Amino acid sequence: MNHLTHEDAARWAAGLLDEGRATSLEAHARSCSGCEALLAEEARAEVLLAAALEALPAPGPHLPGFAPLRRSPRLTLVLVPLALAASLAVFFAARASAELDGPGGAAPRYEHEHQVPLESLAALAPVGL
Amino acid sequence: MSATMNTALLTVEARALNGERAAWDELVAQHRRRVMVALLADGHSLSTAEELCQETWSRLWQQQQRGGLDRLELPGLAVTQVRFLGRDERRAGRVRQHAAGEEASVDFEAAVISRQQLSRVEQALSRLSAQAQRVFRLAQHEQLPHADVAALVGLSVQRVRQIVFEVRTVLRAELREDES
Repeated sequence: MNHLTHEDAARWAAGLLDEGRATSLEAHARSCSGCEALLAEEARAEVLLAAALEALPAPGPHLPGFAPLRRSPRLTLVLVPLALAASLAVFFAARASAELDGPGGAAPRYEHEHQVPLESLAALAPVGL
Repeated sequence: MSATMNTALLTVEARALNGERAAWDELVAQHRRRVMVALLADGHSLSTAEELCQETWSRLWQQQQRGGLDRLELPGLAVTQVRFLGRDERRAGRVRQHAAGEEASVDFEAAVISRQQLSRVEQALSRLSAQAQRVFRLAQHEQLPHADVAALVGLSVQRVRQIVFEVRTVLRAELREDES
């Protein structure tokens, strides 16, 4: 086997080689001090990089976006009618609420039946106070 | 989909915690290289690293058999164990340093990565293409096997490995530049 290159050693240290290739590379390095030193050098770089990556804030969870949905006809058939139904429900609920409130806008609502509007209290107040 | 993959990985660890030998073999194959790299980086020779790795997995297996393992966080647990064994061997003077000698070993636990280095690495990551970022995140942070990453992103395993290698090369260059 030829001597290792930096790229060979870097790929080995990063776990980017097939098992067979990694094994033969290790076998060669065991009998070749220069290549063993190369593996050690790349191992140190690998450990430093791993430490740097661990120190970085973890990336957010993987969000696939809508592309997979667009590619899924079954999901589309379910989700689109659901979305339309939800929109219609919101629309009719809003319209029904507006009809209840009447043309003058929202009617005052009170927590308790004995509550009266402040304007009514003002009308009852003695004149001149 | 990635959650399913993660569950599959956890299942291997759960099976190992139940004492299933095949699951242990699978975990050793998956994490063996990371454990060896930790020892080589500490200045041990390749042959010593292989011996200590063997001893580490053997100890973990025995500990599980005795009921002393309730969690199995890999490769962290194995790396911690192997570095402990490495220090022990070094104290006892039974180890042979690799060709680069004692001066090549670095105490990585004491190593400090500067804020500037982290910032440069973070910026370099943000400059990657969306596909490279996704591949690297799945392979590095979610630790999915390259074959699973390839299936998720619709690329060949070789292409995934090439992307990961290129990203790592860029990040290492950023670290080196800051060191110099």
